[in-house]
Amino acid sequence: MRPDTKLFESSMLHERYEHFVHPSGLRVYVMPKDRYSTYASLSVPFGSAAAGWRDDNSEHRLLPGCAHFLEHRMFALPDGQDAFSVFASYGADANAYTSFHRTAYYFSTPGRLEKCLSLLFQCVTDLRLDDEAVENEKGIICEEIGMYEDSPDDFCFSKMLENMYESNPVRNNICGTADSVRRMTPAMLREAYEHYYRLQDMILVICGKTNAEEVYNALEKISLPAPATAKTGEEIRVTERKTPLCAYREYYKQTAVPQFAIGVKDSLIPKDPAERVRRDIMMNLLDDMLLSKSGQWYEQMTESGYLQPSFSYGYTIDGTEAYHALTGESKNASAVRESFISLAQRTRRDPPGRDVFERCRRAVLSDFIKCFDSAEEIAGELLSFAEDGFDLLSYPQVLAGITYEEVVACLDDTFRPEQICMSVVLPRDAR
Amino acid sequence: MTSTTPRKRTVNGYPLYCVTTDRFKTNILTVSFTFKGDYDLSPARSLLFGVLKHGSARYPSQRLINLRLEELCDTDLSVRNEICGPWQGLSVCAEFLDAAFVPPKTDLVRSVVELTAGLLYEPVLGADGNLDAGFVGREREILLDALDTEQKSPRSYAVRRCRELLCRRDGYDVSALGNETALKRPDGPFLTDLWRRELCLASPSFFYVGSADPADVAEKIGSVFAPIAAKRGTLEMPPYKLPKEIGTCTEERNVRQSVLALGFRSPRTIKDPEIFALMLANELLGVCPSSRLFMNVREKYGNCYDCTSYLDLYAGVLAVMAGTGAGSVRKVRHAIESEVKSLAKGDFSQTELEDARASLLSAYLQIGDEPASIEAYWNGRIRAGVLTTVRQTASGIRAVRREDVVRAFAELVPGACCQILGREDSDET
Repeated sequence: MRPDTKLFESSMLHERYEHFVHPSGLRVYVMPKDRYSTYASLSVPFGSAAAGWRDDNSEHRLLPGCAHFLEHRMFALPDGQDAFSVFASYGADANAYTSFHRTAYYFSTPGRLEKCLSLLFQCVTDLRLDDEAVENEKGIICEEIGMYEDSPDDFCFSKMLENMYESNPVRNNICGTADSVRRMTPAMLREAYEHYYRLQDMILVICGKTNAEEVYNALEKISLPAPATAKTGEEIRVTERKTPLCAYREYYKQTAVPQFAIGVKDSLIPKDPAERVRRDIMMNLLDDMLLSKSGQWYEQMTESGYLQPSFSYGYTIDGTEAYHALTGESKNASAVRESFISLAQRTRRDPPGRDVFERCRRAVLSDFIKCFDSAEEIAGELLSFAEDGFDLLSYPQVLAGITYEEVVACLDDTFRPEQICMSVVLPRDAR
Repeated sequence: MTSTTPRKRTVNGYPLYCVTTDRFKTNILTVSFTFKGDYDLSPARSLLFGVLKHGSARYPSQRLINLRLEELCDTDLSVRNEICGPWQGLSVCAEFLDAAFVPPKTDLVRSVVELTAGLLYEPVLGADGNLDAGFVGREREILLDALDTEQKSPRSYAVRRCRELLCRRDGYDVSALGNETALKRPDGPFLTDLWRRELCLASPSFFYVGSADPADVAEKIGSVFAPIAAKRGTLEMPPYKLPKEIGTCTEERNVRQSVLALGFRSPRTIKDPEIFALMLANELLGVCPSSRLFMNVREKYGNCYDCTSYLDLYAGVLAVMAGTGAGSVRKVRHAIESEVKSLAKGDFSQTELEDARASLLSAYLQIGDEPASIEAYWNGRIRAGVLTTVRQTASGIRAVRREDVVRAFAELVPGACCQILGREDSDET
């Protein structure tokens, strides 16, 4: 019998979704949409920021890149077949990604949801590892690392995080290093898999031509295992300094225009998920009020030739890390940093008006509404909110409840010079 | 499935294609111009369009335009500059909220039409009557930097060189950025003349996806985009020769990963009824997750992270791209060429073929799931005058026989190999 299903609706957004917890412990969210295909994403709370765990007498420290390595091997099937081929035979497009805090496996299918779900759970509940496959995968992952290292903007951003954090594993490359990848063994991967891959910790989000009833019936046919025993041991947590590890660092690479990444470390991370969501919205609004392309600062920086159109910014907050990031290309990156610090100081004395706040808030709401046209974006947003136990469709109400005074007050504890770090990638021929 | 096929109307002599649907929260309106690709003129046009987006008489700066876009419920406005086979497509694309999600009495369609027309036809002119010199200078710097980035990025450089080696200035390897000279040469008076002589006399086409009544959209466009006297004829696809030899290029760069780009030419383009076989061949070779390149080059050898193929339907160009270690380039190249040869001999199973077909069909049928995908599908086809619907494309793919795919592979002629060799020990800091 189908467990209780909770319905979430928004008449303003013309959207609704359903949530139930499967007897296996798996949390399921389904958003029906009038679409040709159905998009599904299964999230495992194991990302590159997991340092490992401690149990009775021992400590299980993970090598950097462990979660990502597992992701690469998860599509292997028992008979040596590759799950990608089977997904393809269903007309489904499948893939996966690893972030700091999760590994997600996803597919998009035009109509064979049941078969695709069955295959996906076969992959994640029955890991196949052998020495030869693991060795082969090392070469592939090392090439992936090489590809990102050759990308100046990816490299610059990863170095910004490395300069910002001293102990938090988000300072490490999600793929690990060539050295950590080469040291990975099937036993290490198996141990991590058994610790982190538990159905009761996973979230399944589905969006498209389906409904909760259909998804539940499909899961029933798969015969998912009963919930495993609770996780033993305690996650290794690191304590992190309040200010960045290194304020400024230059690197040299093959690039045309220097790349920069300015990070502003935020150490005030609310424990309450609802408060985290509010802080996320407030900080993003503050960023828009100061840095948006309709603002004076951006105009001055582009007209003076300091900023290129590739400039972007944003605020990120998660369980262990929070920061603003300003990234882009500039022939005078130090001037961008100095100008940004001056902007923050000026703004503290003379904040933008309410009209700017209201305009930015309307723009944020418009952007939020637009994301409902993409099943992939909806699934990503639904997942982020579900991880915090928060209703995605309540976002407009939360946004409406945020006041101008609250946002301006955020200036008291952010954009301080001591919170700022910067990485710059300069052309090799400039050395 | 809701139709993704546009209905055509004519507004002041301009074609307007409308896909009417209320399934999306975003509407898209694109104003497109198509010009024959030209080695000198295309970079100048890129510069011209870049200048125009900096401001209009009514909104004379980028900031004022951005403020206006925020007022219009955060409408996104982008200028697109695409080389599509032998043509250069320049368009202004607006993505805005559907009327169901904006305050009452807000008419975003009209506002977007007016803003777009202002950018195209009422640019900021200096005292000398030419396009604003400041905008020209700034945009030139941006494009020169973009060109430099293209040259320094091993991947984009390899793609461009591969195309040049394959097409050898037959009109299908025009670059939107050209070279430094082509970007530095056009001055303000030249660009102003180009704007008056070419853009102001060109016939745009319009594409709309959204819930508005097409008659209403047509009325709003017609009230702003005046009829023009001069009309251009249809652009043709010039014939091209298949390569007689393989052009090669090998360069060393101080980067971690080596990049390999292999180019093949086919006699088939989008105008050819047999294009569906080539599309399926490409999927089987290096697009779908069970493709030969993924399974036999990446997974088997374990020394590539990415090894994929790409088909340009408008130029009959099939390219394979791989990133690997410097010591493996030769081995990877051999493996890719072996796969193409074996497929041309029909050495593939029916299961492989059906998997590729299922994957390709799924990709096409999903086009109707997002407004941007619908617009992207029709963008090039309208330009080429090939109005094949998504359903017709799907039917064409379903009808492809095994022997058609074998022939599509056999017709591929290798013509380019570009190797950018990295150094495994490249220093980082």
